[in-house]
Parts: sequence; C-alpha cells; structure tokens
Amino acid sequence: MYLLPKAEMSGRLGPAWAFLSGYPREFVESVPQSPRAGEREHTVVMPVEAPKDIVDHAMAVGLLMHTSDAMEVGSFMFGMPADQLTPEDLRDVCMETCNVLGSCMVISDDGSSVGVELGLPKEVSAEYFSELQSKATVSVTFVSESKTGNRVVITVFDAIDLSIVESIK
Amino acid sequence: MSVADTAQAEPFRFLVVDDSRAIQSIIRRVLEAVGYPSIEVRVASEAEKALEILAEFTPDLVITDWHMPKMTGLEFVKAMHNESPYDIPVGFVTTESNPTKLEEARQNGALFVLNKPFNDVELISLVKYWVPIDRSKPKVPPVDTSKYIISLESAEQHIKNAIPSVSFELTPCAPLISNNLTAHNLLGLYGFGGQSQPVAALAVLDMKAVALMWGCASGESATAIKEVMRKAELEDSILMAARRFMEEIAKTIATPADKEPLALTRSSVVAQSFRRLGEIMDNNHGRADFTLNVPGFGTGHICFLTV
Repeated sequence: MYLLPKAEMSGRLGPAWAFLSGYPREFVESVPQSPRAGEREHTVVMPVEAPKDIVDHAMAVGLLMHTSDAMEVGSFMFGMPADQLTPEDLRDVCMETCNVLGSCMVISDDGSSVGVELGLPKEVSAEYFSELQSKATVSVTFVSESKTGNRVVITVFDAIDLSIVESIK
Repeated sequence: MSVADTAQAEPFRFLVVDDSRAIQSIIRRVLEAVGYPSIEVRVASEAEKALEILAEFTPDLVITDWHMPKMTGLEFVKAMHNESPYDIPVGFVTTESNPTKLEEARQNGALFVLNKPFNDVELISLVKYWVPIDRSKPKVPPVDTSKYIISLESAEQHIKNAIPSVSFELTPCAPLISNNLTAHNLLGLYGFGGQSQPVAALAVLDMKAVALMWGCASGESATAIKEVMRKAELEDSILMAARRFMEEIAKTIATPADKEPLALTRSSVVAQSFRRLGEIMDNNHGRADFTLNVPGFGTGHICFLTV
C-alpha cells in the first residue's frame, strides 16, 4: 500500500502547511473536489511513479489552491510582500506546495515490494485537471477552507488512464 | 590583521541546490539565522548549474534537494564527488523518504537527510553541527586505529617521502566503501615475498590521492592536479609517484609472523564499479583507511586491505 493511513495524513498536513505558510491550518477529509468555474485557482499535478511490472496503472497527486492562498504561501516562503510576487513565483510556490503536501499522503516505501516515487510537479490547466479527475479513481481528498471560503485541496488519484499522465511528464 | 583574523573574516560559504526558488529562499533564511558572522550563499536550480558553480566556489556545505529535473540529488552528489578536488560536505533537504535511497545517499557521503516539511530549528542545528561557528571540526566519533594493518605514523612517513616539500594532513577515516572512491582508482596487489599468487593485500588510492601525489611531487599547479583528478586514463608518468608509495609502504603492512614481508606485484587503474573491489572493501581480514588532505589542492582517499 502506498498511501499513509488517513489519520496520519491529517496529522501531517497541518504542520506541512505551517512549513509552507508560517501558520498551521486544519485539513479534513472530503469528497472529491473539482476546479470551480470563475475561481482564481492554481491546479498542479505531480505523478507518482511505481515500477510498471508491479503496478499496472498510473497514480498522481493533484493540488487545487486559490490564488490568495498561493500569495500567502509565496509571501512567507520568498519573504516578500505578496504584491511583489511574480506569476513565476506563484507557479513555483504551487508546485512546491503540491510536492510537500503530497509527501504527507504518499509513502515511498512501506517495506513492501511496491516502492513508489514522487515525480516532478507541474502546473496544468483547470480543464486538464478536471479531465484527469474524470479518468481516475480518487483515493483520498483532503481540503482546508479559509474563513473567506477559499480552499486548498489535495487529492491522490489512482487508476488513471496512463496516457493522460504521460502527457504531463 | 593576523592569519587567524583573516580566517575569521572569511564568510561561511553555502551552496543551495533546489529546483524550487521558494525552498531556496527558505533555506537561505535559515542559514542567515544560524548566527555566522558573515555568509555567502549561492543557489542553483539544477545540478548541472551547481557543478558549474563548484568549479570556482568551494562551499563549507552543500544543501541539495533530491527530486530535480535532469539529474537527481544523488546523481549530483556522485558527480560532485568525482569532479571536485575536495570532500565537500553535503546534506539533503527533501521529501524523499525511501530508506533504501536515503541509505544510498549516506553511503555517498551525505552528512544528513532532513525531510520536508521541517522546522527551521532542525535545519539550524544540523548546519551548526556540521559547520561550527568557531570553524572547529565537527565532532565525529573517533576512528579506532588499534587494528589498522598500517600505522598512521608509517603511512604519514611514506607520504612525506612521496611529497617531501608539501604540508598535508593524513587522517584515519571510517571504513571506505566503493561509493567513496572516484570513478577510476589505482589498485595495487601485494603478495608474500613478491609472489603474485595468492594476493595477500590490496592498496586502493582514489584518483584524487593519485593526482595529489603526482602533482605535489612534481610541483604542479592546483589546476593541473584538478584536471588529472577527472581523467579516466592516466599516463604511467602520472601514476609513478603513487606506485612508488605503494611499493615502499609494502613492508610495513602487518602480516602473519610466519610469512615473508609483502611486496607490490601489480598495479592498475580500475573502475569504481569493479565488482570484486567492492566485495573486498566490504569483506576483508584487516584494513586501514585514510583521508589525505593537501590544503589548497584537494582531498583523496587511501585504503589498505588484507584478504
């Protein structure tokens, strides 16, 4: 099994958010969440690679993060006012957020024969993210909502149609 | 200003290798918080760029990510080990948690592996430990040399003979494994009374030690020595000083009382990947492992093994 127990995921995601933003935030398990039309959300996908002779399907971690949250994280990580962050800075922040939060959910080696590896995260379009979600089984989703209703959503996709993951590598 | 003052005034140097500029910023912030009088931090977003920087910048510590485009952090550490004349201390800050991979990182010289997410205090204490503010050497467990098959004094004396006009430090080190060697290495085989069979002992000098002996014996520049360290095939003239060292030290290798003294019977350049070498480095009847440091020129490794 390549997923951590859900209780452990929940316990790890809050401190991981503190690492990224400077303050902890609660993440709770949720039903799958898709990009919302008209929302200023970043969408990132990070492949989870497993030996093809052991696991015959693709897996990935997906992140949905509102721009305001990305700006908060960016301001903390880069140590500069949010309004000085460039689009490139925000892209960097979102990819690293996907990497760090994803590592709180996927275990690379649990001592079994299945050793998985986190790939490199990549920003994708909301349309692509939705298509990926429609062609996968959602193993688990955690969400953290701010007081203003903005959300950070982290999802592990399983049993993905291989072609769609290959296309983002 | 005295020499000591000058050393104190030198900034502490760090190289941060991470494809995320946001993580580079966090690590820089941590380094600034350690309490060094002054620091110089260089950053690279990929390993190739880091290797370019290392060609003209010798940091006190490299902090690298694992998952990066083109070359992984582990591949970078192996390349750095082969290309840099010095043993540059390196630590990982990564989301990689596979114990097998992390062990491989340690075997390739990683001083620490810190998983993301981390808190600043954890990284500060690791950095402070491996790069002490007073520039003292990090406290590492002392190496037990009581069972060494060659004494430190004897090895020192023979290196002095090989490079008489150069000051150097020869330090006993933890047992070397093939991962600690360079891509190519000089292997010497010893037999009792000069008999080629059976092979009774081996000497292994990595290419950095070979280049240091050649260059320091013949008054070459640091640049020339560095170039030789990277070569896979070397002319006999370059190997000569190391071979002479292997020959002359032979009689001081500890042997059973009823046997004739050892003599060097053969030497050749072998690849780090030579399987038999790795096996003997892991399983042998006795050994002595040394780090040879020639300030300003580089650091090499020397190992003697009885089989």
